[in-house]
Amino acid sequence: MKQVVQLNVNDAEHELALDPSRTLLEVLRESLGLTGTKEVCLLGSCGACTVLVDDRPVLACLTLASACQGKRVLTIEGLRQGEALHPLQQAFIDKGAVQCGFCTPGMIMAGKALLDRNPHPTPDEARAAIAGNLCRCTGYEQIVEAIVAAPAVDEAARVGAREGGHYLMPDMAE
Amino acid sequence: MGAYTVIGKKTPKSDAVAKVTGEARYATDVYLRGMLWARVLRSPLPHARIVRIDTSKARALKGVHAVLTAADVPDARYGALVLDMGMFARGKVRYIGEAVAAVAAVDEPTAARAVDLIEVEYDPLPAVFDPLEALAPNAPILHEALAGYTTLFDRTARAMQGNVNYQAEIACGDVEAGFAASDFVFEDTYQVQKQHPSYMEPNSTVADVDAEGRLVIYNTTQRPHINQAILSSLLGVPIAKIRVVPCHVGGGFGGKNRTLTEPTAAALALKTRRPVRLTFSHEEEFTSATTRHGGVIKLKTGVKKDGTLVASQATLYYDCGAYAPTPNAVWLGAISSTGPYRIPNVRVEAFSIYTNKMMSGAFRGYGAPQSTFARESQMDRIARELGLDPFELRLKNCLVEGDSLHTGQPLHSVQVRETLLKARAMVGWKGPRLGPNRALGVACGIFACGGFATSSIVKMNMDGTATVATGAMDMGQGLRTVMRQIAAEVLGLAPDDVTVVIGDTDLTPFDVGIFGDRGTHTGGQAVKLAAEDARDQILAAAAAGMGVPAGRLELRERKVVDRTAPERFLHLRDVLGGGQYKKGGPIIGKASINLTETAFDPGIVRGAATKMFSTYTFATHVAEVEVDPRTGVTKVDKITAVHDCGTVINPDGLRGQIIGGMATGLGYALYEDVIIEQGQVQNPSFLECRPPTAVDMPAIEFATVEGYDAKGPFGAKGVGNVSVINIAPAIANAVEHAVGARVTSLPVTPLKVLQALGAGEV
Repeated sequence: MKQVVQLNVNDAEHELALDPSRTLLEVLRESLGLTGTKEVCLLGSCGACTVLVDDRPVLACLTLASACQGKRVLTIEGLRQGEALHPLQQAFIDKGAVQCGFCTPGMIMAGKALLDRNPHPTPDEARAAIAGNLCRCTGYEQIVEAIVAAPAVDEAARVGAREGGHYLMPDMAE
Repeated sequence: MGAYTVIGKKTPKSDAVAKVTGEARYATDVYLRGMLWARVLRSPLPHARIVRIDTSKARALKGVHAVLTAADVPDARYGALVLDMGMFARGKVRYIGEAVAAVAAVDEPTAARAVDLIEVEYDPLPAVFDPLEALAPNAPILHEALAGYTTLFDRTARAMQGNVNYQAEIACGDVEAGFAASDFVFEDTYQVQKQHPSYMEPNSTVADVDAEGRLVIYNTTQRPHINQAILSSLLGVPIAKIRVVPCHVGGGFGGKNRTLTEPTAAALALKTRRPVRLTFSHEEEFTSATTRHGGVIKLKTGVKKDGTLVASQATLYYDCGAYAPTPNAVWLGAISSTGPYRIPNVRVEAFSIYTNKMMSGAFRGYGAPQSTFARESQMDRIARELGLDPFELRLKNCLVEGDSLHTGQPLHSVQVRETLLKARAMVGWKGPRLGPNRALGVACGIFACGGFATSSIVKMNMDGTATVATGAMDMGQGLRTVMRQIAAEVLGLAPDDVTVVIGDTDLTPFDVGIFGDRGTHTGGQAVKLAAEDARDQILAAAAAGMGVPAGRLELRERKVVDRTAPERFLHLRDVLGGGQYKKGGPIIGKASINLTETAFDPGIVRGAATKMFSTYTFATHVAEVEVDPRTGVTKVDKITAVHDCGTVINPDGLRGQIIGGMATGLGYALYEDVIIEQGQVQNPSFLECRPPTAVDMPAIEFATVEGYDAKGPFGAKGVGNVSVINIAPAIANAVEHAVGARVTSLPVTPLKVLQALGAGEV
C-alpha cells in the first residue's frame, strides 16, 4: 500500500508515491538521485546521512520519508548557491578538512546546523556539534578548524562581493 | 633542497569541490539501468563440512535472476602470498560469515528473502580460535591441502605446516652469545587485539557487461590492476576482457587492498548479463571483511647495565583468521620488531596462523603497531628497571645514517635521533611524571616505506597542459593532488594545469596497489620520472624551433625559457599545439619503476615476503595522560608527534595524515576491539565498536625534521603508517608513569588498568 507524500527537498517540491516504511535516506538516494547523502551504518551511529529538516540536523537513515511531509529538507546538494560554494564548503577546502570525503556531506550539514544557531562557535562547540559524525581519515582537527573559520569566509565573501573583487583566505594569500 | 614553485606549497585537493558538494561519485552511488541487487548467504558456523546445498526454493522465488554457489564458479583460489581463498566456501566453511552462496534479484529485499530460502546442511567440525592453540599438534586443521596451495614467496623457511600459512625467520649475529654477554635479560609477552579499519564507505561493486561483452567493474579499491588480475584468474576471463573503473574511495587504510565484493558481483553479472550491485551491509563489514591482525608477541631482550641493547629475540604469532589475504603483515611486524634501534644480535621468528575467525588483513600500520607496542612497552620497562631516562635509553640505541637493519638492509635518510630530540624539546621533558596521576609516555618507531612496481604516463595536451595517468589509487589521502603537484613542478605548470587520471585499467598503466607508505614515495616517483621524460621531449622539440641547444632550455611559468637569456622563450601551448598540429605529436612521457629490487641475504632472512624496501620512515610520539586510579579510565590530554618524512609535498595532506593516524592509534590504544567469542563477532557495528569521535581527540602538536630521501620524489617519504604505530605504546607507557599500572595487552581498558593496579604488573 503506497502513500502519496509531498516532500520539499532543496526548495524543490516532489510528490512521491511511497511505501510508508521508506526512510528519508532511501528516498533521497534512490527516488530523487541525491546520492550526496551517504549510507553507512543504518543504525544512527555514524552521522554520514545527516541532513537538515526544518533547519535541524536529523539522521536520514532513521527518519521515515513520510514524517517529512510538509517540512523543508536540505541536503548537501542544496547548499551551494549556483556556482558559489557555501562558506562552510569553502572553509572545508581551505582548511584541508576533506580526505576521502565520505563523511564530508554529513559533517558539513551538522556544521551548518551549528552555525545557523551559533554563528561564531568555539572549537569545543564545533567538536560537540560533530560528535555524532564519525571520520576515520582526518582526526577531526581540520574539520573543527573549518567550522570555526566559516564565518570569516562568509564575511570575506560579502566584503569581496561589495568591493567587486575576489577574496583570499589569509593563509591562502601567503 | 632547492627552491620549488609547487612542492611544499599549500595546494587544495583537486577533488575537494566534488567532495564538499556531494557530487563525488563513490561505488555505492552507481545506479545502472536494469541493475540487480546481490546478497550473500554466509556461514553460521565457525568450522563445518558442507553436506548439501539446496538452492531450488531461492531460484524459484519471483524476481530472482541467479543463484551461485561454489559449484557454479571455477575452482580457483586467490591470496597475497598463499592462494587459499575461493569466491565461495567449497566443501567446508572455516569462519562465521564466510560466503557460501550469492543471489542476484530485482531488489535488495527480494535478494535477502532468496538468501533465506537457500538450505544448507552442515556437519560441524572442531574449531580453533586462539593462534597458540592452533599451533598445538592435535589442533583442528583449517586447510588440509595447504601444502599444495600455490605460494608467491620464498618457501625456504619451515613455512606452511599445520595452521601456519606463512613464516619468516630473521637471524643476525649470535643471539645466544648476546644474551650471555648481557647484564640483564628482559622477557615479556604482549597481546594485541583485532582492530577494524572502519573506513566509512562499505565495500561495494557494481559489475556490468558492456556491449562488447567486456566485464566493467565500478568499485572501491586500493588496487585496481590487481583486482583485474584476480578477476581474470577467478572467473577464467582474459584480462583484456575486464575493465576496472575505481570510483572515489571512501577510505581504505589497507582494508580495501582487498578483493571482496568484485568476484561475486562479476560472476553474477556474467551469469545474468545485467548490471549487478553487491554492497556489504554494516554487519558484513564487521564479520566478513578484514581487521588488523590480533596476536601474541614474545620479546626477550638482553641489555648492558648502561642501557646498550645487545641481543633481541622476538617471536610473533599473528592470528590471520580463516584465510590469509595478507600474511605479509607479520613480515612487516618482524621488520619493525627491533624498533628503530641498533641491536647486534637478533633473532625473529614470525608466524601467520589460521584460526576459525574472521580474516585479518592489511590495516594502516600493516603489522607494525603490534610489534611496536611490544618493543616500545619493553623499552620503557628496561629504562625503569635500569634507572635510565626513557628518552636517553632510546637516544643511546637509535639507528643512525649508514646503519643496517637486522634484516641486513642498509639504511639511508635516517633521522630517528632528530625526531627524539625534537619531541623531547617540544614537550619540555623533565622526566615522565607531571603530577598526581598525570604523566608523559614516549614511543619511537620504524616502518618500511615504499617499493614494488608502478608506472606512469604523462601526456602533454595541445594547450600546454598535462594529463597524468597512474594506476596508483587515491584512497582519500590526497594522492591525486600530490601527483598533480609533482608533475606541475617538473613541467613548469600550475597544479590546476595538470589533470590526473587514476585507476581505470583501460587508461592507466600498472600499479601493484597503494599500501605501505608507497603512494607518494613510489607512485609519485614514477610520475616525476614520466614528467621528466615529457619535459626532455618538449625541450628537444623547442630547441629546434628556437635554435638553441636543449641543455640551455628550461620549463617555467608555462613557457620554454632560454636559461641564459630569459627574454627568449616559447609558450608551451605554441610548442605543443603548433608542434602537434604540424607533426602530429604527441609528446608522451612514461616511466616504469620497481623500488623493491634487491633480495634479502638468505643467510639472514628466510621466508622473506618481499625484497628490500625502498626506504624507512621514523617518528617519535609523546602522549600526555591522566589516569583515574579509582575507575581505571585513561584520558589522553595531548599527543606530540615528530616525523621524519623527507621533503613535504603537500602540507595540509601531511597534517591530515599525521593527525588521522593518531586518531586510529588512539582507538587501538584505548578501546577499539573486535571481540570474538567462539568465532562469533560480538560487537559488529560502530555502535559497539566505535572509532574515536571529535570529542575523544586530545590536543595535538606535531613537527617534522628536515630530511631528504634520495629515492623519493623531491626527497619525499611516506607518513601514513608510521603515524599510527607509536600511539598505543606511548599511551601505555604514560599510564604506567602516571599510576604505576603496566598493561601488556591492548586495548588499555579501565578494567585492565584496575587489574594492573591491584596485582602490580600483569
